[in-house]
Amino acid sequence: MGSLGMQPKSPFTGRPRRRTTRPWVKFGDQLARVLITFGGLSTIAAVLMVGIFLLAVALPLFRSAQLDFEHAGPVAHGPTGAFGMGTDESGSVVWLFAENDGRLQVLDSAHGESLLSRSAADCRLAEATAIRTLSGTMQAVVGYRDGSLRVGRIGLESTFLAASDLPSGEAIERGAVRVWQDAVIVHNPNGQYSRVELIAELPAHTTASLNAQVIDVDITPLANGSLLAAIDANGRVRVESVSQRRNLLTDAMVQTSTGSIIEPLISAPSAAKEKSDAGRMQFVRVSELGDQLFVMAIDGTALRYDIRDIEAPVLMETFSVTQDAVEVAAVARLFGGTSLAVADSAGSVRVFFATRAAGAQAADGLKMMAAKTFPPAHSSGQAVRITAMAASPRSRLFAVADSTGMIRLLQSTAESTVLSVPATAAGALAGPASQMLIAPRENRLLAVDATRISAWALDAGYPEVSPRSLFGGVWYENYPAAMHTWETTGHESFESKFGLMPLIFGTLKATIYAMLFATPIAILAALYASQFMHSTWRARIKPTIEMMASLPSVVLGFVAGLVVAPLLEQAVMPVITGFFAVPLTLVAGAHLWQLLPAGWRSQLSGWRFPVIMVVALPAGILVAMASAGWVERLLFQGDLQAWLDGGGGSGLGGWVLALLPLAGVATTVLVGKIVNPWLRRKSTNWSQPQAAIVSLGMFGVGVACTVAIAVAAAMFLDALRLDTRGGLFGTYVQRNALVVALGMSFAIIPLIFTIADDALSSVPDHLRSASLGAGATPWQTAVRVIMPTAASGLFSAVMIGLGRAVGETMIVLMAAGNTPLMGWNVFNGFQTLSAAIATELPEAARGSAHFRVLFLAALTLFAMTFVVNTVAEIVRQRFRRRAHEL
Amino acid sequence: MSFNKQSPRRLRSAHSSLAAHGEAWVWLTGGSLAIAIGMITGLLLFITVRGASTFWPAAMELVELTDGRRVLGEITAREEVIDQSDDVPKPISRKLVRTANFEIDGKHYEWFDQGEILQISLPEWATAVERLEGGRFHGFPLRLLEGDRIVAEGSAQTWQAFVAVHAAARRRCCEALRIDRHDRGVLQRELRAARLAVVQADLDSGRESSTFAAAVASEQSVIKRTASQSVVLDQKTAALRNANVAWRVEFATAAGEKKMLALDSIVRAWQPNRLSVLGKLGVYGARWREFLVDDPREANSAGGVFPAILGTVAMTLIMSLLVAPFGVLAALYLREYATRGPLTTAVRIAINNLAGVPSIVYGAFGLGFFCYVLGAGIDDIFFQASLVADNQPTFGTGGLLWASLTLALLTLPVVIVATEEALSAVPNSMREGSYACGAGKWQTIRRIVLPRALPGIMTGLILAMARGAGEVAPLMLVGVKKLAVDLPIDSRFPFVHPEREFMHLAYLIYDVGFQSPNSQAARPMVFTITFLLIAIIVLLNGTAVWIRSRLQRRFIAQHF
Repeated sequence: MGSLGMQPKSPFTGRPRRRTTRPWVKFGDQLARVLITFGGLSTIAAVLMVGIFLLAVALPLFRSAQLDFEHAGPVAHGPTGAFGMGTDESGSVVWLFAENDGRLQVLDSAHGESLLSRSAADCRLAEATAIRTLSGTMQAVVGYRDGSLRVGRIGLESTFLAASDLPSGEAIERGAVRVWQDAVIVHNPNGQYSRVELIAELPAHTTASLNAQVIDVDITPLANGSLLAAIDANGRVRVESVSQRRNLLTDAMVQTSTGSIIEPLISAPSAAKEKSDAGRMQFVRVSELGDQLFVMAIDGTALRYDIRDIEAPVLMETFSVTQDAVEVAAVARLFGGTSLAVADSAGSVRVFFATRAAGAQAADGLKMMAAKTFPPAHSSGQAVRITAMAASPRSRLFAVADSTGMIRLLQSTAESTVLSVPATAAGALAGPASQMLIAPRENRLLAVDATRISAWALDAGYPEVSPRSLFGGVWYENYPAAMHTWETTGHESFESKFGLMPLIFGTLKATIYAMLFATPIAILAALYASQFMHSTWRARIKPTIEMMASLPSVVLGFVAGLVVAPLLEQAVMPVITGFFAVPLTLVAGAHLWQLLPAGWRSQLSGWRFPVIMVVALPAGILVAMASAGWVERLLFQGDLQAWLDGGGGSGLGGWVLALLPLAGVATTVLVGKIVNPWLRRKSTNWSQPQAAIVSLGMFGVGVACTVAIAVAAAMFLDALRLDTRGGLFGTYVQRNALVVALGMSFAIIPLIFTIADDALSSVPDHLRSASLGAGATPWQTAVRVIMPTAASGLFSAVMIGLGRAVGETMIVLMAAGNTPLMGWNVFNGFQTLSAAIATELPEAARGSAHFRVLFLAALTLFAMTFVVNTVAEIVRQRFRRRAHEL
Repeated sequence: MSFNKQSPRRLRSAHSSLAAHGEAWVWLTGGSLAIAIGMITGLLLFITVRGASTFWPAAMELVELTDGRRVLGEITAREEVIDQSDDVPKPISRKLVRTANFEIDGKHYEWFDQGEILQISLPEWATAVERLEGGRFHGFPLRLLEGDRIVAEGSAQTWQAFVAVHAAARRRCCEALRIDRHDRGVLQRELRAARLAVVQADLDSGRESSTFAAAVASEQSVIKRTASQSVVLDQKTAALRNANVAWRVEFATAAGEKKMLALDSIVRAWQPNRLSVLGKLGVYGARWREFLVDDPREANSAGGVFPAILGTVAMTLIMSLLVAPFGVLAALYLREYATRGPLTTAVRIAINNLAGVPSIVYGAFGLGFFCYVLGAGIDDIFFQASLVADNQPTFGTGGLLWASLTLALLTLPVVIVATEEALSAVPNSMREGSYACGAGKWQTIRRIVLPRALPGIMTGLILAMARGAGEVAPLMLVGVKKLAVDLPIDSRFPFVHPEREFMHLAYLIYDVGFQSPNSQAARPMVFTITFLLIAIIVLLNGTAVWIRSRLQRRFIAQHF
């Protein structure tokens, strides 16, 4: 300000004054700017990356499958007679046998080159009419024209080959194969070598057999052998259990077998059809566990036998696998359990399994149900006939080919069409495929038609997971109907059950019950602390409660799960009565307090809280304990646990409990709207003590009214035969929602309390002063001025509490029992998203569907809390702005 | 009254004035606060009492039952239950006795109805024995033997002789254990390092190279050296064990059964009924000392928790070192450098939200990103040998570093928010004053803003540490183990081993409380661990509150 003019030539320090910033200061400034900007932005980016990374891991779940055509080559003779095909473990080499070709051939599956070949006679495959092999164990059963059977091993056996044992000479490229010494050497894509040998070991002798041409065979592995079934042209079925053991003296394998013949069943309707081929039994399948046998005719008539006693099969039921007189085109056994996929000549595929359904008439209580239906692929009005079907040996994925030349990949669990490609495109096949195969690692699909064989590289993705299977009910094998299920381990691991709904439900259940318990306590406590409490007391109490907010949840979980849960089991009834007795005692205490002369009351106002804390609250708890036995006798025939289990009479007690809070609210509203105005008119002449006595009496009447309303409504609902058991109440489990609610409230109450208290006490003082000055009582000020002003702050407090409850892990892990159930029963456990992630993620194989589904669960949790918190934050910012304006 | 009648303008009545005060409502709010306070104090008190009393040598009571059984133990709980078995329910009181001697009757604790109890007495020589394995033993000392020679007989003499020889035997036993665990561990690690060097040389330059030959040669020399050292260790431990092996103490249980205990299997024995208060305090202190500085025994249900304390402290410190600079950087950027606008607001809201994202989500992220992406990448580049040799990931699995990083990420939003609040609480007038004096932006931040905001930043950081110390859900995914033999910090180069899995106090609570094969016997231990953890967290929180109030006072004094 005019300083230029006043500037002396030399300042009083005697040094010339610098007018420029030192370069190092400027440099420092720039450096700091760059560093802080870079560091800050990258830190923020790192934090925000969490959500993006979760999405990146979960997203491949929904990636579509890929099927890339690799190669097609000629097959000497098409599969018109017996035909067998299989690959080695990695799917790089394929063996092929067609009876009219007379050779057992080994091909390079990626390029179609013929590698090895053996004659059918050498392998005892001449005159074979039906072949079935298992991919893992290479167990094989072969049926012959004369009705005999052989059981042995056919397939490609891989053994690991060390790099040093490789034949010297030219190197083998990754993914390539080379013939060496009667075997094939495969350089796997992962860099390891394996030696693949063709195994075709069939015993010289044939086993006890049928007497006409064998037309279909099936085999399944047993603990020390295999179980096979075969059917001949006359419809006779042979089931046989073959066990192999090593003779200790001669070191030779000894085969022993037992079995029986099932004569064709001539029932009246099928006898009529016997003239046509349609009614003749043609297909035979055994279940993977080896306990069921299925025999099917072209016309769809199917029989299910119980073959647990192999010597005496028992017919369980007769059912039909097709509708509207269409014919069976192909039958495949799906991975795991008893599932069969049946394709018909009209192009649709249905998956059947035996399940404990209502109305099952079979002796074993099971019934074959068409659980999944895949409609025919759309084609331009042509009749579509399924020509081939192949099931994956490691999941419930299967492939079907139809007469229009389409190949579809279907997933049974998700009931979805994974992929659909034209098999004839790019010169793959000439016509519809007649045989197909999915390699053991699901990395390759092979199909054969009359003249050609082609291979596709398969990347199935995660076909068992789809939005429908995650969030909708799915009919899993062994289940009576479609259900929401989460089960990732256990004996039915062949079909993982990735239903997120039970976990989301559990999360919501935990949140809702915890919030129901914690929110009123926290908000009311904050109201008292900020409005009615002396500031010195408040200064001591607030840090104590804040301290509780930082208690580790593992401590709360431990206390809830190991201390509260066993105690609560002993004292459910006192806790239930406590929910009613404690507030009632407090209100009764208030009415008694009112009886004190007004002068005393204002003098004693500092003692009100100690009285509440030391006298009224313990009195309430005592009342709850004293009345528990009495209430239990009155409402639950003296035994709550038995009542909850469904015994002990009517559902009246449950309704009374459920309706009491509602009746209480109704009575309060009634008193406020009708009785109070009436009393106000009446009481103009009353003295304070008189009014206090009347109000005490009214409180008594109000309680009586509440109980009367609740009981009346409960009797009405009970008369309608409605029951709370099965809904809100039910069988008592030690670790349950009530325990979680109590434990979680330790975590949520302080959180809500702190934020709500901040919001309430930051309401400007002039508002309160104005209200009090205008003659409002502290209570009126609190309810009509302070609370509305702080409403958004209170709301955001509740939302933040909600966010914490949704994501809480340790408490629910330790106190909720971790059973993924769906049901609102307060006395039953549940599993939450967070607990599932905590227990299952360390064990989930990296990159597996389970792993990614758990990441999806984490993402769901992330999204849920993010939404809740964003709402809370926006509301809070608005509140802050409004508070500033006031 | 008459005055009331004369004033027609008075609209309020006694009743409505009562209703206006809403006394009932106020009492309900007060009751809620009382419940909240009762819950906290009850919880803290409960854990303090249970946790602090675990190591107190309680009186040993000899319970004689009506059926003639005699049981020696500590009475740990009493309760009244309603007997429902009769037609007329009647209350009975019963006592929970810690009977110990698990190997004899398969129980650690037993309930006795008051009606069953004939008599309770406090025998003078009742002894509680804490053993290396098998839990507690309760009985009366009979004799002390060295081989077949009876050194002492009768309770008093035996006890005297026991006290005289036990300390030395125990010392020898500990030394042998230390050699087995520590010295042998060192040898094994050397062997493994040599083997990995061979594999690495093979990977780097092939089998024909000279480095490979050198590695093989050095492995051979290491094998030879460790073998000879191992022999020396064997001799040492054998000598120590031989000195102990003959010594045995015979005890009699309350039922009269005789039981021989090896002297060196006894960690500690005391006779609570003979001890004075000072003596009891001595036992109490010794057991606390063991708890704080020793390794765990018996699946973590006895002994000490030193590895867990070390793991918790190491992880919390590394986490703080990571979170402090980055948190402050991000907050400085947001508050001082970023241009105000909707984007900054959105980022701020997002960061606020991330503070509320469940910890388990961060755990999943840590496992998926740090262990499986970052760690696996590091392994591929630097630790391929271990991967090839025994398929053992080094960084590609959970470990101290990943756990610290995960928790740093988890607490980062908390620190950013706290720092930002602290920065925004610095009055702008101070910044402007600084600029007016010619200071640059960075100078202003460093000399004026940061010192002033320091208390707020410190508070945020300490609260973050408290949260990190107690958080366990994400750690279960990224590196906490129920038993880690190698400590993450030891005396071998490079002293801190960020790739190792570690133990954690909070996880120990979950593990011992819920996964322990014998959870009832382990229960007192869980309470003590909980007590310790809460003490640490209360201490951290208290420090935060203290710093806040102290520095606030300083700045209030500066106000003018």
